[in-house]
Amino acid sequence: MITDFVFNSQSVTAGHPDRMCDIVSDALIDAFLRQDPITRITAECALSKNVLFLAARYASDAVVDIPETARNALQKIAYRLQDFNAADCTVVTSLIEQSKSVRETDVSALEDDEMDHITVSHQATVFGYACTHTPDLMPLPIALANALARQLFQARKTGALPYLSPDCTTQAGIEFANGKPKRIHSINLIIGCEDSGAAPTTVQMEEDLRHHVIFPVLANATIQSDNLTKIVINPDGPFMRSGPRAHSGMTGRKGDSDTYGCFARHSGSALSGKSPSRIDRVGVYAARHAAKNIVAAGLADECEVQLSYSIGYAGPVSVLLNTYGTGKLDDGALRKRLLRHFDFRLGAIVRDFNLRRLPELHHGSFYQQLPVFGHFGEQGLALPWENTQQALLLQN
Amino acid sequence: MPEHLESKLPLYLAVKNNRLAGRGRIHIPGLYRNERLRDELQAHLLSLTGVTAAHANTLTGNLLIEHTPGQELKTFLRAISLFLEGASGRPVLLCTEKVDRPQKAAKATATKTTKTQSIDGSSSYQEQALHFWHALPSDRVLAILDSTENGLSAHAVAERFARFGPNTLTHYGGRSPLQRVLQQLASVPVAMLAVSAAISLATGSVIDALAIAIVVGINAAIGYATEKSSEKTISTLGQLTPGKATVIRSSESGEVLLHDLVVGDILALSPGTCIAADARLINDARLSVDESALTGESQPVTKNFAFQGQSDTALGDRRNMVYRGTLVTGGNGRAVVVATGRYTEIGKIQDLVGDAQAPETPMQKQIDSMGVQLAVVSSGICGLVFVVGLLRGRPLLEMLVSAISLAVAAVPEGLPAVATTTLSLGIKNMQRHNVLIRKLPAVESLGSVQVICLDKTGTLTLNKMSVVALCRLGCDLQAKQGAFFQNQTRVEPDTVGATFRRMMEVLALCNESKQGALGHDLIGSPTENALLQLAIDAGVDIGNLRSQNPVVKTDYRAEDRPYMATVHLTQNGCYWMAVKGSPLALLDLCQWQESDNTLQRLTEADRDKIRTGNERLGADSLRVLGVAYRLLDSSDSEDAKDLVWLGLVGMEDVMRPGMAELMRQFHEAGIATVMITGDQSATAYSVGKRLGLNGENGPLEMVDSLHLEKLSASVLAGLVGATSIFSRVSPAHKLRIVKALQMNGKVVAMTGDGINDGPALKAADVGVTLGEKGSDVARSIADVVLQNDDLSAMITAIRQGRAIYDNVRKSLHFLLSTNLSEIQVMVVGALIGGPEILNPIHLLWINLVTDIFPGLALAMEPPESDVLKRPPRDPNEAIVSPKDYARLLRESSVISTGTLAVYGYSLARYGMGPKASTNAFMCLTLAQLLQAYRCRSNHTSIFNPENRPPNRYLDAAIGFSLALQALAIALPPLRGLLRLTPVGALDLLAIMTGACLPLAINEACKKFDVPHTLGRMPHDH
Repeated sequence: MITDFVFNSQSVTAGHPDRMCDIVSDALIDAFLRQDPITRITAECALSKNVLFLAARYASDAVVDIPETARNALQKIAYRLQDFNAADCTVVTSLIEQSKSVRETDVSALEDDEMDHITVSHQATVFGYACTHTPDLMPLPIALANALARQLFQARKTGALPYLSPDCTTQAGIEFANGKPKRIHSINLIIGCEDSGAAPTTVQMEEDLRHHVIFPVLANATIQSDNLTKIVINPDGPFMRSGPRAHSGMTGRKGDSDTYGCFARHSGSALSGKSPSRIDRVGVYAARHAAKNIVAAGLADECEVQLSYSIGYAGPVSVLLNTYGTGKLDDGALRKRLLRHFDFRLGAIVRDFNLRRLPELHHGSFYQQLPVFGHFGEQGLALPWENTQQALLLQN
Repeated sequence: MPEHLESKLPLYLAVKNNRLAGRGRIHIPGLYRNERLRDELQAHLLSLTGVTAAHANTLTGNLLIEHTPGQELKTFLRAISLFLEGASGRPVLLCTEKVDRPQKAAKATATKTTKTQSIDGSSSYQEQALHFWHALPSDRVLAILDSTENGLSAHAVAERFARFGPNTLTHYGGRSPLQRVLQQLASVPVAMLAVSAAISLATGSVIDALAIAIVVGINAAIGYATEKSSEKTISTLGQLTPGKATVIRSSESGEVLLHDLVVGDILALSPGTCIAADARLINDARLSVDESALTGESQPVTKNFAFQGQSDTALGDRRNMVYRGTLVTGGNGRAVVVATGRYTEIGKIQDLVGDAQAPETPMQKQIDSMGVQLAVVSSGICGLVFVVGLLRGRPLLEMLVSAISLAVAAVPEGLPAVATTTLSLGIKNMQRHNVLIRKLPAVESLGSVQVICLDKTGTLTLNKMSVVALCRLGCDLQAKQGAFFQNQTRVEPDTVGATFRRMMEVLALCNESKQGALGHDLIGSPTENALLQLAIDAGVDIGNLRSQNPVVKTDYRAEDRPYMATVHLTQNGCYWMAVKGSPLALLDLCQWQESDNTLQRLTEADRDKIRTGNERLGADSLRVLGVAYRLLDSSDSEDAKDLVWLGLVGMEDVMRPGMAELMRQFHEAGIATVMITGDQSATAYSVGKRLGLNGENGPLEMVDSLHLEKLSASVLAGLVGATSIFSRVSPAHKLRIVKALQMNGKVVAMTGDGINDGPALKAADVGVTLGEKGSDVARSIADVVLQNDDLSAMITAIRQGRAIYDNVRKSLHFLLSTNLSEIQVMVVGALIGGPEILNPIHLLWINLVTDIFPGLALAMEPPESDVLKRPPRDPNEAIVSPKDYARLLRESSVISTGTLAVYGYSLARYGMGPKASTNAFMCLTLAQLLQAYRCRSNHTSIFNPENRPPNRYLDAAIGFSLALQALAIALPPLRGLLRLTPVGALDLLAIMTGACLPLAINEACKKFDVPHTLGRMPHDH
């Protein structure tokens, strides 16, 4: 097995059209759940120039002004008005109202055995992963790429870099030795610039980005850059057109940076735009929770949990676990402990993470923060599936 | 022009150069060669502080003024204009206050609409000066217009009326009788006949030429008569009863006809006044005006005479102006008329749309092109017969006559008359259903409508507010038609509790609506009417309550005060303040809540609940107001604060009854429905849901855009395909929506009643307006006016429209198949040689007897029973498709075979001669008349008569034609003219067989035809 290699992961900032679509989709989840926690909704968007296409199917008692909610979410990304004006973009909606199903019940009021009646409605094989690269047990490449993206967005927000557009992409390359991250091989930033007459010089831009983006991120990183670390900024020159004006976006196209940056497997379906009734979203959170607790318990250095769900079953039809030889115990024994202490039934996941009430508890803005702050890790929100309290239980 | 009026025209001061600080060059009117003015002006200016030098040049007319840099040139300009006004006695305007006259729109050469000058010939009147009146103070406006607050003198009024003309808008349409006659005659078939007639005349057969002329004349007369009667209907519709305006003239107030208003008149405005001309307010008291007819904004606008705008202030923001066509909803005021007639804002819009182009209707195009095609084809056949005859060695003259008679036979002369008559009959028929057709082709367009765009406010709704939800802490109520419900169960208002009672009292007291004389009607703004009605429904005795709690102070809603508060003196000498207003702002002022007569402090949780309630009501398409009150120690207490929260009321625009059913009918008829509204999308969504705009639970596609104009036309065209709601759209965008739909190849009907809707109504294939509500402009542009404001009439109109198109097709089918059979008989006759089977007079007789009357009767066919269950026809499909031609050929062959068989039988019995011709003539005439029954429907036949409603006109027409035919054979002089011989019993039997058998065969053949509606699928449903 090759254990010395470079691994690259990439991410995008909040103003990337794909991300914007994720944010809008999840803003709708928030808006509906806030009014009616027992809502089912699936929302997907596509964005091109100044037209937002929005398709939603929902079963809810909530009354939401959908285009307005979408516009408010887009407004927060704060494009310059001449680049993208959320207030007067056209929103084309295709809405289907449905009726609630057994999955739309208040799980907190249910007895444990009643959870068996809440069966999943989608077939999904989902993965959860955790490793010891970072304190919050995420793979280092994606953790770094996401941190860079967040810092870029922050730098724009604070106005530190006036020419910075909200639409940038980042890439972090980590050199591994013996399967462990050893040094930062490269940092690659593609920066969208707002066309304000004069483009910044490359030298100026590099200086700014080092100072305002790269150094602040690396200050908190477990591994520092060295003299050989390649820092590449806009090798093709500044991008003077960025955002929805330049390219289009869709919900759920940034699955890799939403999860583990391709360092571990991830399911093909999108996370954003799905209410907690969808196992292909909440199952991913449950699998991460399980994997993270195993690593946090010190039972393995890395761990991947796989859950397979079939329509008509309340829980997974298969639970698999792989520690890639780093386990303190046999994988089989670990799986037994996992099954003893973790409940992977849909109803139980919704109940244990309190998924339906999270928007209410966060003043109407929870899920829409995930595309920006990351669905995993401990960078912003306190995510219930990042909680490692159950690590103690896993000791036996 | 009278001299003294001329001298009252304003002078203009033009600033030439003020780029250098401390000096400016100004053009002074009247300075040229006027040394006295120069000296006085220089002296006057130098006396002003700040002016260091003033040099007026009498040769250039310019004044150079130098002043201390601290001063602004503007202050001196004011001084100069005042000085000049004093010196010349004429108003002086700065050039920046002057605007150009509107550019005359370049006249489109391809414009089809015949635009005639207004009846009053306004071109002979002087144009009115257009100023930015809203940017001038009112006293200057009065000065410029040479009017006073006491109005004009009778003399001045007469003078101005003579100069500027009456206050009327330009009228369009209306053709002269000659134009109409010429239009009847200017068709290709008529031209063909004219050529035939000319040849007949040249060859000496005057009778033939005369017969042709008579046929043409009869057709033209029928066409003229029908079109004239329908135009008469249309023109009477355009005329509205002239209103009156209250005007102050010579210090006395009186009523004058709108027509007689002149510039400078002082209008007295009071609630309900329909403003008759554009005017500048000179004073007002809380005047509010509904400008929806002009701006599409349905909320009344508050006016203020003291407001002074900039030259670029938008029409809707000119708060010191009132415009023609708008309605005073509250307050009162006086205004000086600044523009009348076509110089008003409405007049200008009407001028604009007058030039827009109306699309030609599909049937017009088709019948035109078919006429040409038929002419070409029949000329070809005539030529063929002519050549064949010559080759067979027949004399030239004889062949020429034959060819001409064939041409006469081939052309369906009745065609234009039948189409016009069918359409105009449709107009009359629709009128009985309160649908007024303003343009003839619209009848036919109605039949092919594929998409109908509907205005929400006023069309789908009644444009009348009504309270539907009450939201108090811990108790939500619904109101419906005067009754109250809690969780779907009805509750009596007096059992709900004291807080509810208090809330109703606040709504009744903090309310300026009044009960009308009848008790049922309320006079006031829609919102306050709705609130007062609620209180009445809740059992509050308004008169009693108001007299016991007289108002001592009223604070109206204003920009810095998002609520209205009234202070009342109660019977026990206390004061209390009733407040209603913007929910969130009011909530911030509240500290308390009341439940069952005890006050409790509002907790943060309560506030959250109220905010969520507000959000829900707002999102649920309601207009929400908060209600609060407070007890006071004295009447002149400070502003509202420390209030007691009572609850929220949610109001909505009441939906017209039966709209959901109507939408279902549209969908069943294959017509897509699109709602266009300026509302928020949540409102639009809930209305769309209730209406069932998406059909059977399909997705509801919605486009929500404040700035539709930023979307490129092709993108919009891509979006509109499946969209059933456009929300937050301004009336100006309707045109874009209509055009986008048309880009998709749709035939679009559009409803609208505001003046801003004009261009969209014009561009739509069918522009629809609601009669009573619609503005004059909308009514004059619309193709269809629904008279009793009921959209349901639209489905009737569409049914009629489809039936009419069907009927034209039926008539066409009849005319073509019968004429074709004549051609076939003649061609066969020419081919077999010998004397011609039918002579030209025979053919003309057949055309006159069999074409027109049954053709017209077919136009009166009642709609077939499934007419509203079929999808709309494809507008691009030919009115007679190739498949139809094949069918026509088949049917005409059957008919001509029958006739030729009878001819053959007669030849065998009598040999060549008039006897055989007579039998063939009789047989062909009868068979053609019977063919009319075949043409009644493509789906039903004489074998299943129960499926078709009777058509008594057809029975009568056939009876009449049969009688004429019987006369032809029985009346010796007529018989002589037609060169017929008497018919024997056996011959009669043969003729009957030869005429009836083809009908039976053709009717039986229908069974094997694929029903044409099944062959086509609806486009996107």
